Amino acid sequence: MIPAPKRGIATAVLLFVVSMVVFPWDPAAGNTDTAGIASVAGIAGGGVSVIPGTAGAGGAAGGTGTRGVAVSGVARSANKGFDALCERCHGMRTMAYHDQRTGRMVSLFVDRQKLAQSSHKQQACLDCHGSGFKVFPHDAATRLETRHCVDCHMEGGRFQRNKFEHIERDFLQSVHFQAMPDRFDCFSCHDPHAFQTLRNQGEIGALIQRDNQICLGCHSTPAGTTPLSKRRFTSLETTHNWLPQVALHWRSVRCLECHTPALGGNHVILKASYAERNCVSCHTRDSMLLTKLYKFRAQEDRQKAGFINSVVLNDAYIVGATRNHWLDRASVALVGFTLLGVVLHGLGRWITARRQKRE
Amino acid sequence: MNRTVELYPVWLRVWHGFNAVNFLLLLLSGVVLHFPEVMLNVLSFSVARILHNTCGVLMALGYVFYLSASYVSRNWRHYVPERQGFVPRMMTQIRFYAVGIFQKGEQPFPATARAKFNPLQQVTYLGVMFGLVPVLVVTGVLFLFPEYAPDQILDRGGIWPLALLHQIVATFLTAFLVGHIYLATAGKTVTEEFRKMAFGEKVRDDV
Repeated sequence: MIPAPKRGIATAVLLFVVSMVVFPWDPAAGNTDTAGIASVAGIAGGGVSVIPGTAGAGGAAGGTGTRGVAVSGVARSANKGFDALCERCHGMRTMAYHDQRTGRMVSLFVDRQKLAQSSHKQQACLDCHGSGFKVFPHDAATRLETRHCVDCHMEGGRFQRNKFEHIERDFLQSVHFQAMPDRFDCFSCHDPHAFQTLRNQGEIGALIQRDNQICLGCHSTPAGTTPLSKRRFTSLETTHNWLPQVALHWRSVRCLECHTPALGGNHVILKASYAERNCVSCHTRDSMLLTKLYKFRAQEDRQKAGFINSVVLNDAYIVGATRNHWLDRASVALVGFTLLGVVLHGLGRWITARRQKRE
Repeated sequence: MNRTVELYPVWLRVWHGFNAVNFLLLLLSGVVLHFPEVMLNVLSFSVARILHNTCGVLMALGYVFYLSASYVSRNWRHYVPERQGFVPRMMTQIRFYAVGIFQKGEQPFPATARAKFNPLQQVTYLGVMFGLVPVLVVTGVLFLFPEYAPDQILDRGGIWPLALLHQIVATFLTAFLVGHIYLATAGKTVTEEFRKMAFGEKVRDDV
């Protein structure tokens, strides 16, 4: 009798092989989210979930002795960054494994469209992942391989223009890392297969929503927050009830604006008690948002005369921060000249009244 | 007929005082909110926000009351300029403020039961009470409930044009306030008009 876990793995492998025969691999195929793949998806989920302590990718057939399929030199799919053979499995939405250490399902799905828009769109899978992933099934050592952003983004690394050492320094000070160093890394918040820099992201509202969704992924449920906080879980609406127009703030700024230090360091996530509560940090001419949310846009825009923070003005109005130089001057001038006129007129009346009195 | 009428009925005096206090507090808090970096020693931003919202709502309610009471009491008629000879009469009033007032001249159009305002007051008050104030109130209310503001105006976020309009109108009303208070000193004595607005003024009904 085969033990239940191994029986699951064997079934997964068998059905995967059958599916490859029934729905043969087509290098030109775009999105693999088809009926054929869906049948594999179910298997992969069930099969992988029984592999203990697996942190690597696609362990469905790991250790079964099945002869490997060579990925090296495969033709690329229409999406330059997503090798077609990798996409065969990792393009399935249900591709996941059960991490028994954390008790969570970990998705191994790579969204082709998001990857195509990401900062890593020019990279092939094996540019980042180790050579062990050239072969399917990936062996146990390969599956345990861990990658970090700074592996490439460092002094002397592959991407000299984007060095992340300072980000790593910031991250090490964050409340997340401080509280649970073994549970947090770059990928806890950032999906390298979808990541876009602030500079490249388009419409500001969508950017804010995407960014805040990262935080909400954990902070909107008790299960997400209690491992880190000893306090009883309270809804975000309750903890932010001091903030006027909460919904509008959440739509208009990222959580990071207040939950990181005012003078930069977007990865130094502060304890809630240290979060920014001073309205004027944002609501002023030298708004903190210009060095955070609007950092890149503002640099270009501040060159132009006219509107203060005009880039902000395109998308939102921020009391105290979004102002017009000329309108402010005109306002002060109008009231100033009226006052001056009144004072001069009054003085004239006073002088003539005194003269008439004397006469 | 020899009866007297009240030029400034109680409802008008109460509303006028209420509106004046509200406007001054709105002006102070509005300046703090708009120029926080130079005004924080006067008032903190969060206090200014509460003050501005509260007084804004009170002013809006006061304006609705003013409109209703003006309609019922027919006070609105004082704001409608009589077209015939309006320009010459206005020029006469301007000439009085420019020249006659320095020569201890008499007001060319003293307040009567039929015509409470001089031509210059008529046109200014008409523009203020039925032009600028409603714009200020509507833009202010939309500020308070931004979800009801248009998402986009001229391809830009819907709030900022409202904000600019709010600032422009508030500036004109501030200039008006300065002129209004000053010209209130141009009665027979410096304090006469203030006294009338505080305690009322009965005049002979000339209808």
